Amino acid sequence: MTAMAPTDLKAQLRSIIAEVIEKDPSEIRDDVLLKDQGVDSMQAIEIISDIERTFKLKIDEKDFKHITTLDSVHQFLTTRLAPPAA
Amino acid sequence: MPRPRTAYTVRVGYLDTDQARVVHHSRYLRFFEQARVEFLRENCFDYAVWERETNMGTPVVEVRMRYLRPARFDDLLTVTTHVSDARRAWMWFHQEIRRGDELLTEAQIRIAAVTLDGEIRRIPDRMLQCCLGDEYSA
Repeated sequence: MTAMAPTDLKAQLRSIIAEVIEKDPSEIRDDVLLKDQGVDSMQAIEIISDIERTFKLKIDEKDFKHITTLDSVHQFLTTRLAPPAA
Repeated sequence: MPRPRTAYTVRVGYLDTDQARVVHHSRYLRFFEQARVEFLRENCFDYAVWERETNMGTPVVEVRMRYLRPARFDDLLTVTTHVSDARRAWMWFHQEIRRGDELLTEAQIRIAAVTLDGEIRRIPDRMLQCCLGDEYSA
């Protein structure tokens, strides 16, 4: 997989979250808990599934706890999508 | 495999009725729940065994129900069940209760999946697969 520019990745994640909770992407705040932005627990699963589908990866259920804000999702994905060290 | 549908029959007991001599509105939820358990037994797995093996449950998170006509003591009812929609986080069951051909009650019931400690989980692949038939895609 080609490494994605950080801003593109964040924009894509913002879009995924916004679509699931039916808001405009500009309304999704980076550092505010998703649950405080209207994401319930089932929507969180939907977001995770959409991320898995979009980036063709599998997120272990033990990692769900990392997915609390847009920033934390972004950080988690950046690590997961980073090319392995040579 | 097409998306499965089941029909479960239940006889209305005296304890299901209220002072107005009709089935109390709360009892339909029980009939629907029994029918879903039998739906899973017929198409997927024994729910009690699955619950023990996985330490998971499928709580009802939303109910939309219409009461059209009353059922009465000793009526033989048929409860039909199928999954009308599903995502990774939830499944909607569509269920109807009929007395003969007469539609008495219909409901849309949404379930989620949680651990028995209450943590949300994905609907298991195995459950999606057997409830959706050929329409399932991982």
